[in-house]
Amino acid sequence: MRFGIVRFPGSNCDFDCERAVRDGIGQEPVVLWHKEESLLGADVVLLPGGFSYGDHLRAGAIARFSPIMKAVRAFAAEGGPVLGICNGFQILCEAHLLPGALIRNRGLRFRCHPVHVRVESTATPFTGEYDAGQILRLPIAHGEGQYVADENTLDELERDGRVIFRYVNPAGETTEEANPNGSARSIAGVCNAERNVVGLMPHPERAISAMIGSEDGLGVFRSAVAALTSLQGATA
Amino acid sequence: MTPLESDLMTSPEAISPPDAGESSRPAPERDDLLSLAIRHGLSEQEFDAILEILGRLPSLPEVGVFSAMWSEHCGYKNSRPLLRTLPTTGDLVVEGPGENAGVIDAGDGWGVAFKIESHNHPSAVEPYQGAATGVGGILRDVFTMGARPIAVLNSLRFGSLDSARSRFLLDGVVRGIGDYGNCVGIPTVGGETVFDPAYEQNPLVNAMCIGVVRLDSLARGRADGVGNPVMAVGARTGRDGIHGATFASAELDESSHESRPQVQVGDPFTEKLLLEASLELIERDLLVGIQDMGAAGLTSSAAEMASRSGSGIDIDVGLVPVREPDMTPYEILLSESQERMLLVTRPERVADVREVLERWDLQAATIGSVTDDGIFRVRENGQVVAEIPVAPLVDGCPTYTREAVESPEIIRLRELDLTEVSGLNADSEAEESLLSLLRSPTIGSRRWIYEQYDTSVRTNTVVGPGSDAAVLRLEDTGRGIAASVDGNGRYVWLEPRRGAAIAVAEAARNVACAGARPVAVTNCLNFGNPLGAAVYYQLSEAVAGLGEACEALGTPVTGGNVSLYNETPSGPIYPTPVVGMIGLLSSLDRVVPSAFRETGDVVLLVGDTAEELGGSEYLAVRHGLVAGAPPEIDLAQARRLVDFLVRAAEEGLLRSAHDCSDGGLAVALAECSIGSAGSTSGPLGLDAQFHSGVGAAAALFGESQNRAVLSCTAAEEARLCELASEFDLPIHTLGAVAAPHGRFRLAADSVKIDLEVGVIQEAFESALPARMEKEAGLTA
Amino acid sequence: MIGLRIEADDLTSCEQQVREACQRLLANPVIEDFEFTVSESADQPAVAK
Repeated sequence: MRFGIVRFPGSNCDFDCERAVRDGIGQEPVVLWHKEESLLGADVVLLPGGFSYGDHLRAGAIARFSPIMKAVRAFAAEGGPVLGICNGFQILCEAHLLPGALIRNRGLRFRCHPVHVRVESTATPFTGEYDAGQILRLPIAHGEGQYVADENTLDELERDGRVIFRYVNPAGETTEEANPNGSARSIAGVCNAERNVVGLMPHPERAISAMIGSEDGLGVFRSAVAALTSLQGATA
Repeated sequence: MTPLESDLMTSPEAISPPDAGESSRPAPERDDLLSLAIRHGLSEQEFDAILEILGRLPSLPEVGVFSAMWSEHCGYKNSRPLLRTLPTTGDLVVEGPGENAGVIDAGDGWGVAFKIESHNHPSAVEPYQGAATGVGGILRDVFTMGARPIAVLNSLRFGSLDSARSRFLLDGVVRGIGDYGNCVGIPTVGGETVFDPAYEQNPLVNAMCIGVVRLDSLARGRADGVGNPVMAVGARTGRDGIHGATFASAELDESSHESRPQVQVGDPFTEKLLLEASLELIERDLLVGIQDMGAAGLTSSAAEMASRSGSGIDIDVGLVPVREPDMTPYEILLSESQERMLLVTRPERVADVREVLERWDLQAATIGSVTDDGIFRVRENGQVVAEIPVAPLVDGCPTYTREAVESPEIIRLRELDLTEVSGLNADSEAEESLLSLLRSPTIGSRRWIYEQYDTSVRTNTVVGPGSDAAVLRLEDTGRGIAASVDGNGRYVWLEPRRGAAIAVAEAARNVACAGARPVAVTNCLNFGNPLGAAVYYQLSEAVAGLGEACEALGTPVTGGNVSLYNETPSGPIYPTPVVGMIGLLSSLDRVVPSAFRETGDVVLLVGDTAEELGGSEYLAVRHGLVAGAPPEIDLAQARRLVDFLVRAAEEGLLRSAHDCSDGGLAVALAECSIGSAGSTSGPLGLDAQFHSGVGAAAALFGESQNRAVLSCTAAEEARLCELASEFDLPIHTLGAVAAPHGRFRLAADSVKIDLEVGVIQEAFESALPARMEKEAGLTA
Repeated sequence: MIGLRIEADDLTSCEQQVREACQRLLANPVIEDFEFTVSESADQPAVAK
């Protein structure tokens, strides 16, 4: 299975995504240069973290206009699985492929440490292999990760089960302390109405082996393989 | 800036070419030039040397070029004779001092490139940009070797956090380091931060970068091949940071904030593009040589590249892409605008080089070519404005061996009888002493700092900040790189030779505690003004101590940096040599954590404890005293301890190992308990007794060297003790790891500490947040 | 505050360009509002703030 990893100028988690795909789950990563308009036959598209275009103006604001994003938009419209991690999540929000926005962390400082998130929905191509309610330990590393949206949007997300990950404490409870950036309703990740586009702030690609602290992120990538395999089985 | 200097520096008409014939203005006289040279930090003796080298009066750009190249920062004029005494060779050394970074052979065709550098003066004036550009510069030093940077560490020193200025500096420096490294995507994995009034007006910001490189694709800063094109790449050249190298080699005074234009501004986004483009150019073998335009900018990069190759270089400043109009040759030559590289390629590869750079949206301009006449020649739109022989410019800087006299005041303090200090061994004091030490910013948790750094990007971080040493995986070899930075200015101030040796031994011990074999050192020598005999004494003695320790530990010095003139009107800083140690781990399966892991594990202390409190954190925090002799260091024993720790790790005997240093045994054990919180069901308690034969204060808080706190399973205790005796090291069983959230009990003979482990954890974690987050705003 | 220099035939088309730039790029309407003023000068192109 081919995972397309978009490389914007300033992306810096692209290597980690490649490693997660190649070493973590034994699939094929392919780098998609931002100036290209082709996804090179990718089955899944990953928008990695980093500081695309230096985060000039707003995180993700300029990346959404890059040529590759036309292809990503078309791919998403056809139901292709797209995952935005950290800066990739910010880009998807700026591109209106996901609702809401990400603003500076409460506390106004960059924060990097492991957090716990609860899998709120397994009905996406990136969470199918987890159990609903499962607690994952994943690192965060961001200065602008506070998820915000208007109350109606938040209610709609809750109602439709589109909140995919939520910050919790190790016991699985949402608390003020466990919410590292002040995100509305402790939201760490959401999906679009069609459920094929997912964005999250924590880094599953940095949690692919116990040696570096956690392997809880592997499920995100495995889920994509399983989702596509069953899709291919159904259409065959 | 004086009117004369301002006029000479900015008015292009005033620059008289060497063959000044048709200049409309009269050429400056010798005395004018001499006074300009002196204002540039050169001495009359050095000015005369320049006249001799040139055989004529220098042009104004030439004065600027010489003053930059002969500054302490580039020319090492006061330190070179001392640095020559350091051991720099060894089986694993691929590149020693002289290249952009040192390189060691890490096996399987991999090299580890690493270097530490200071950015003290810029950080004192503009902490955010000073620290950010410090990180930028050290990253470039590493990736110009063809190495991909995989980690940054830093060593920071500030005044007391009771002062608003120190809090402002800490906040700015941490943000600067974080914003730069986080954006480029290089994890900051470790370091040290010390707070002491000695650094109140003159903070120290030293950054170390580690990169990995295939040894067969190592790049170098060379300008070979007559006629080969020289290209300027990356950011445009502006007026920022003009004469930063000279500024970095002068004392700070009240007017230093007026030097803000000399502080460069960093752009990590351009750095990231430059990093990727440079590595691609090197990987595709499109370059002859590459060098960062760092300190002294275009001048030093061009001259040093020619010097390494024994060639000459001919550049035209009119071809350099500039950011501002009307820049003079002087300004273009000495600008320290960030994120710029100088490349030498071959004519037939220029198109390919341009293609790569354009893909990364980077500027590139061919600004000259390599020659074979040994001359650094600078033109402005064809007309020669500087013409200097490369060899004396780069290597001919006069060097000085100064008078060295130890300050009698320091001798008096060192010889103070510490047994006179009242309340030293009082039973009632022990618990409060431990808590105060844990709460002190120098010992307390660094979490507030390192959580602002991306520590996990690139997924190589096996052990991040908060342990004795950072551990990184070495690509997919299954092996690891360990690194630690250490220094103790207080020890070095009290006894420079011993203090510097301790810095090396401690760094080696930290790396060995993680299970890695220490192999090489990079150092940063932060000292005051060497023209003072007392400072020069500190410098010469400290370098001697570094050399002795590196020799004894088998860890050659592969490079580093010297930062002198760290003085303010209130005096020099503590002399602070900082040691960056690299270690290699034969298997990542054998990494030893520093914190306790399992209730019931046996806790041991390896090493001897003497009645040593001199220079200790305990004396400073609890008694407000910086005095006494720093602890003795037996370097042969230091080597045996390192060997023992590495062997014990390889045999899989250790559950944990932690260096015993600042704050002594009680603090080391407390850190082992507190550090276990993240990976177990809660911080683990302790039940331990220590029969030391020394006073309670020295037993609990003394900083005797060559010690480490270990834990192992009961089954391995006998083998561990046997191994220690094989290495002729004393080892004592202290007790056992207790239950999570239990009590931390430590008795030194009759003096007891018995606290909830949660209480010591709270004290430790509150050290920085309590001081940094309480105020509404930070002020300059 | 962002300053722009825009060449336009008339005030209406200038305002339209500025509004579009704000909506599409300069501001994120989810989290930001924008307002702008346009001023014209004879020797220089109009300036919007």
